[in-house]
Amino acid sequence: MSSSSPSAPRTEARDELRRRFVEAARRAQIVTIVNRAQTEEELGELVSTELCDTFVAEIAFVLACRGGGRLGVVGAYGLRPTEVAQLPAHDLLDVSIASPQRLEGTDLLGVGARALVCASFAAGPARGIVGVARLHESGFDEAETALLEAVTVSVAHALERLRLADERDRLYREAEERAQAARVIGSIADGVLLIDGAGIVQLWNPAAEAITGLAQDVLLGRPVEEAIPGWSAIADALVVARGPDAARARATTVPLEMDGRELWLSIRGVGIAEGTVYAFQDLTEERRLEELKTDFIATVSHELRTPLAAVHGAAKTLQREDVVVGADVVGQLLTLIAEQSARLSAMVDDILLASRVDSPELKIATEQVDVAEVALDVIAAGRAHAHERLTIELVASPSPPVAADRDKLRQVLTNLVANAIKYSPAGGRIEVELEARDRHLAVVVRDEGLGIAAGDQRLIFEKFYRADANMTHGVSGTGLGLYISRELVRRMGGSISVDSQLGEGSIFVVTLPLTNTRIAAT
Amino acid sequence: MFPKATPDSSERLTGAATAVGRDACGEAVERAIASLGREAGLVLIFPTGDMDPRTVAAEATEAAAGARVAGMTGTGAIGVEGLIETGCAAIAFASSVPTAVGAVESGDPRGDARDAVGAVLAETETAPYRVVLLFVDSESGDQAEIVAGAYGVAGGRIPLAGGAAGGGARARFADRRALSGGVVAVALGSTAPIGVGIAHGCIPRGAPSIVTQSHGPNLVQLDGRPAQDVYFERLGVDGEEIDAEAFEVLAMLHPLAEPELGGAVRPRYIRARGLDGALVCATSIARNAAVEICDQTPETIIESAGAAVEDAVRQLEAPCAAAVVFDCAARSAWFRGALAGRELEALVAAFGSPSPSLAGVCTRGEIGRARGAKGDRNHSVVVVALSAPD
Repeated sequence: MSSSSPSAPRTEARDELRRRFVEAARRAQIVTIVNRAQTEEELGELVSTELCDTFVAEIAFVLACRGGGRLGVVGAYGLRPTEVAQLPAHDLLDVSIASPQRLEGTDLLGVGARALVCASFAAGPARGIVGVARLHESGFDEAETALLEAVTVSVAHALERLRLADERDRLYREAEERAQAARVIGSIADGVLLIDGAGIVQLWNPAAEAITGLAQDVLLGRPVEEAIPGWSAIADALVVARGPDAARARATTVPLEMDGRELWLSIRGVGIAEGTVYAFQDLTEERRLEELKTDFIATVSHELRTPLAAVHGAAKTLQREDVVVGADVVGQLLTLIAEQSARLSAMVDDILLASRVDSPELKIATEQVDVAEVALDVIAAGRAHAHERLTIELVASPSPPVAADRDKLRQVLTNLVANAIKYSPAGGRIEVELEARDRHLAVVVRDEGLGIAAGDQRLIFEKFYRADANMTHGVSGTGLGLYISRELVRRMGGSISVDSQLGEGSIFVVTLPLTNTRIAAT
Repeated sequence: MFPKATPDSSERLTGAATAVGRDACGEAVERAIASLGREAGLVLIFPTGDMDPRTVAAEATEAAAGARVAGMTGTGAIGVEGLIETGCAAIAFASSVPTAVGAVESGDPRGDARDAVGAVLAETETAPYRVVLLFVDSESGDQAEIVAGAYGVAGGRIPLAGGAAGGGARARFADRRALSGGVVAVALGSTAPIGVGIAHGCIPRGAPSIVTQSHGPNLVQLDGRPAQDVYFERLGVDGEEIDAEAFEVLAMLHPLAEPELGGAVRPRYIRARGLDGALVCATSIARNAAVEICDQTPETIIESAGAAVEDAVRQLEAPCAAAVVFDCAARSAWFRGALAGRELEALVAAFGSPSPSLAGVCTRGEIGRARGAKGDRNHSVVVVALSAPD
C-alpha cells in the first residue's frame, strides 16, 4: 500500500489528534536538537536537516545576523554551496518580517522550489529567518506554518544562548589571558611600568618595586611625574617605539635619583593602545663594576708605570758611557732595579691571584698553623719597610692553633699589615692581636691611621675597589689586596671584617676556625 | 529512454535476465547482454548471498565483455519471473546510456557516500535526468548517514535508490572488486524523467508512543517504560515466553515506524533485543521522536508492491522500459509455501504488458528518496523506473 494512505479506517478526529501528537513530538525533537547544538554552525546544520525530515522537504535553511550586520547563512541543507551563497536573504526577510509566509509557484530561492514557508525572528540583537522549501508541488499548510514558527522561536532562543555563551567564553578567555599576562609580568625580572594616555601609572610590577623601592600601592593611579621622583628629568631622553618597530625598541640608559641614591636604569618604551609600556633593568651594579674596572686599569697602569720608570731610569743610567758612576752608585741602582722588579712581580702576582682566587683551581691547604708565629714573621717584615714613626706590635696571649693554609694566611696578614702601614703616613701604633673566641681565633690588626669612610667600608673588599681611588693621600695600590684577603679567608673557612673611623684608624678582624673545629668539620 | 533521437533509438537500451544456481552470475550477465542485443556499457548484478563474492565479481566482469559491472548480493534475486533463492539477476544498459560507477571504502559512511556519489555525478553531469543507486552494507554504519552524505552532493533534484546487501556474503561489486564495507554508487542518466517509487505495507496499530530514552539505534524506553515491555504489550504477547526465533518473526511482521506530519509512516526494522529492555533498530531514532508499532500483512505487502510500481511509473513521461527493484527481505517472511511469489507477481503485474527489463534484489534495508531529504528505509520496496525512448 502507499505510505501516504493508511488502509485502516480512522475518524477525522483521531487523525487530527494523531497529527497533533506527531507535531508535538517533532517539535520536541527539534527543541532537543536545538538545545544540543554547541555552535551556530552545528545548530544550523542540525536544524536544517531535521526540518527537511519533519516537513518532508528537500531544502531548509537558517539565516541570521547580529546587530546591524548582514544576514548570513547559519546552516542549510539540500542546497549547493553556490545556491547557498545566492539565497535572497533580504527578500526573504521582507516577505516574512511581519508574519510567517507561505509561497507557492514563486521560486523565490531561485533553485526550482515549488513551495516555500519561512518565518523570521528577532532575539536580542540577533534577527534571522528559518525557511523550508519543497521541489515538488506540495504546498505547506497552516499547521506546518505554525510548527515552523514555533521552531523559529526555539532557534532564536538557541542563537541568543550561543551568542551569550560565546560572549561568556570570550570574557573568560580574556580574563584568563589578563591573569596570565599579570602572572608573567609579575614574575619577570625586568621592571614594567604602564603609563596611560593621561600620564597615570596603571601598572607597576614587583620587579619594578624591587629595583626602585617604590611600592605598587603608592604609585598606581597617580601621575607618573609625581609618583616617580626624577621621572620628569629622564622622560624626554627615553625612546618610545610604536607599531612594527616595537619589537626592536631601543634601550636608553639613564640615571634616576631615588631617595638619595642614583639608580642607572636601561629603559625601553613601547607605545600601545592603552598608553606606553616601559620595561627597565637595573644597571647600577654593572655600571659601578664598569667604573671600578676603569679605575683599576688607571690605577694598575699608574702602579706599573712607577716601578717601571724607576727600573728603566736606573738601567739607562747604567748604560750611559758618558757618565762615570761609582761602584756605590752602581750598587744603589742595581738595588733599585731589584726592589722595583720585585714590586712589579708582586703586583702581577696579585693580579693573577685575584683572577683565580675564587676558583677551585686555587688549592688551599688545611694544616695546623700557629698564628702567632706567622704574625711575628709578618710584623718583622713590616717593620723593615715601615718608617720610624710607626711601631708594630704583636699583642698575644698563648693562643691555640688554627686550621688554615700557612702561606695564604701569611699573605692575608701581610696585606693587612702593609695596608696599616700605608694608611698611617703620620705614624702611630699598629697592633696585631690574637684573641681566642669560642671555636675561632680572631686576628685583629689595628692602626691609628687615616681610617675609612663609612660608605667605603662595605666596598673595600670588592675587586678593584680603592677607598682613595684618586690617591689624594698619596697611597698607592691596585685595589686587589683586600679582595684577595677576603677570598682567601673565606676559602679557609673564616671571615674578615672592618671597623673604622675616618681620622682615627681602622680595625680589621680575621677569624679562623681553631684546629679541632676545622679539621673535624672537614 | 535515456539518450533521445539517436540513430538506433528503436533498439533496446536495456536487457535483463536471471539465472539459477551457484554459478549463475556469469550466465545471467551474458543473457542480459544478449537480451540487450548491442554493446553494453554497464551491467548491474544481483546475485544471492550464498556465492563466493570474488568468484562472482570475476565471472561477471568476464561475462560483461568490457562493460562496467556493479551490484550487490541479496537474500534473494528478483526477475520478471519472480524470486530466485539461489542464482542471479542482471540488467544490462547500452553503452549509449550515461552511466558511472564509483566505490569508496574508508570507514566513514557519510564521507564514503559523499565521495562516491560526487564522483559518479561528475561523470554524468550532462544527463538532464539522473538517479543514483547506492549499494551499502547494513553492518558498516548508520544507513541514514550514508543517505545524508549522498544527499549532500546530489541535492533534492536527483533521486536516490538502493539498499543494503543481504545474504551470507553481504558483498557489493564494483567491476572486479567485491567489497565488504564502504559504498558503491551508480549513476544512471537519461533525457527523460526517471521514476522512483517507494512503498511499504506497514499499518500503525493503536496510538503512537514517545521515545523517552534512546542511544543511537538502541531504543531504550517508550513512554517512560522499557521499550520491549511496551512493544510486547501492544502486540498482546506480554507475559509470553519469546525466544530469539519468535522475536525475529515478530520484528519482521511488526516493525516500528516514525510517523510523518502528513500521516505517512517510515518503518524502522527491529534488528534485535538489547540490554535493559531496549529494542535495537536498524537506524538511530532520536529521543522525543514519536514511534508507532505496525502490522504488515500479505495483503498490505502485495498492495504496497503495486503501489511502488505505480508511484514510479507515474513519474515517467513514457512507458516504462526498465526497472530496478530493491525489496526488503523482511517483507518476504510472509511469502512462503502457498503465498510464495505473490508479492513479486503483483509487482511485475503492476508494470503492465509488456513487462520492462527488470532486475532486483532482496535487501536488508532500503534506500529510497524521491521527496524530502531522508531516504533510509526499512520494510519497504523501492522501484526505479526508466522510460522507453521517444
